[in-house]
Amino acid sequence: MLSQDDIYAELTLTFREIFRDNKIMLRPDSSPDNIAGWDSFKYVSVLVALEAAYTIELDGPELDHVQNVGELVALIQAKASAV
Amino acid sequence: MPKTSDAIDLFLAAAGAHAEKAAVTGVASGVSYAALEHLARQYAACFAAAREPRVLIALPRGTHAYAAMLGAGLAGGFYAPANDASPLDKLQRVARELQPDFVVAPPELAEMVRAAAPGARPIDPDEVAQGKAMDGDGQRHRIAYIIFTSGSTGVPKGVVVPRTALNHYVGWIHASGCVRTDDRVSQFNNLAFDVSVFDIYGALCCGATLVPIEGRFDRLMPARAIARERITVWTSVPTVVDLMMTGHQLTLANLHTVRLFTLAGEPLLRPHLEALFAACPDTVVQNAYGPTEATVTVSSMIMTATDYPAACEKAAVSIGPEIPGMCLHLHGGPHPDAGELVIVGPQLADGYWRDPERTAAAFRPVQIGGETYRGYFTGDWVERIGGLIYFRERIDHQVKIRGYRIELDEVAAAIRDCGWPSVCVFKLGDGLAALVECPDGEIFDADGLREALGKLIEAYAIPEHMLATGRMPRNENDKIDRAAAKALFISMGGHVPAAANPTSFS
Repeated sequence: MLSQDDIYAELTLTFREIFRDNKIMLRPDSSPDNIAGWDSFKYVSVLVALEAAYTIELDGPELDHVQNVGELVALIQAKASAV
Repeated sequence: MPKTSDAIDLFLAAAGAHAEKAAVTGVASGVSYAALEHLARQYAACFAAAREPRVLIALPRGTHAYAAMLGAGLAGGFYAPANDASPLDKLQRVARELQPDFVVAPPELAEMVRAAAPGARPIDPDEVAQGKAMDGDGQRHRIAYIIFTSGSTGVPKGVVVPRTALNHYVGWIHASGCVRTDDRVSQFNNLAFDVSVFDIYGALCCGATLVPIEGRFDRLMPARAIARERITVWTSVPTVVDLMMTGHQLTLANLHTVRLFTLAGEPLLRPHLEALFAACPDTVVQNAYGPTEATVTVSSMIMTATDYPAACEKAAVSIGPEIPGMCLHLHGGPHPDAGELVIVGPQLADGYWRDPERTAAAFRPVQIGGETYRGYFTGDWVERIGGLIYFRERIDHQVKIRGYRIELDEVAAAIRDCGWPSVCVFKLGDGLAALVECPDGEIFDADGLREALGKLIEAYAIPEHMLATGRMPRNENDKIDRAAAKALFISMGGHVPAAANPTSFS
């Protein structure tokens, strides 16, 4: 099973690349409220990158409830483990 | 154009003819025509407690919002839709201007909105569904709805749309074949954005099925929702096509059910068409133009994969000919094929809510062929090339820089022609600046762009300072937010050097 630490590391690299900001440090409470420039387009790019990296397909009901990076990491961990 | 019928009557007829068919379907909503009619009648019974009821609706897309709209019309009143996701302050400003008799919203939100309209009665959707229903055909108010848009003074500007205008528009939607009874029509646009009128009345007045795109994920990945819900008619601003491109969603597998994409609300660009037709060679794209003041859209350019290049002039796409019954007149230009677009015809709004001064400024007499008509002066500068009309710029986006009169949108159009489709040009200090959207993976070369612009526009019109952003700020209707773009530019350290030597720009 993938560890949350591994997912945070991968996700941090993804965010840094997409947001073009090497200083981004993701925390469980990271969200559009505290990461500058987090808009729909960036979020879609992150999701597409995650689907490709973990060979998973995200869908509506499960992602609609995700409020922050901590919940996103937990979702990826559950989906990737089920593959 | 056939004789126009009342939109509420059309809905009642559709509900009678298709009682068991799905009127609304989706992840969270789902109701038959018979059930939607019953709910609309329950709302009408509530609203009928007031004479000519004035209804503010602050609900998300879905069955209750649509039923409240229809119920207001049935009860002899009119409604104003508010974006329930707007900041409370904005909702309260709308309520303050409208002073509604009823606020339809979840209880907590209704109470907060009523702080600005203490005379309004809160209507809890859950309670309406338990109440009695109105019988009969009801009454009709001359006003259909009021859409509040951002006013330049910070006070929302209410565009008053009469029922005759709505009826004409709905008549065109059906006569043109944009929506048919067997369609599944998307409802992506927020309810306070008047393009949603196309979705809601277009579908529900002819027995088609309306599909609200409700969830956050579906709104991020709309093409997947299209595939899942088997949407046949899609309507949105062109920016949503950009979003689909970003999400790698523009595929035939996702979009094969769509027979018509209607794109409206902001300029459609050739790259949008290229991307859509590359994915779906058999679909049809409609570029629809119109201000809220002329009831959603007044022109239509229908394009297929084979004929769309003829509707393009560089990156711009023609807004197409006027719809039957409406007239597009070019006014005040240097020659008959350029000028401010003035709209004449039955879809014109009454004016602005309780603002006769602003109404008189925008809705003025215009001479066409020796006759005088009431026209709406759009503030949009257009050109007619080869018989097709192209949007060029907003007249109020004209600035003066070191004595030169510059059209900001003309500069933006030139930058788009250089391969950067999303751009915002604005005056900053004494000079001109541009924020350019540069998608991930592309490299923005400001010097190269400056050199390319030198072949298209005068040297004094080339922005002194240009910065790139991964994503252009957009407002809640997905249009470029000029104020936010300027603020972002400044926050990125952007500035315009003082014009120490104006002659260097001559």
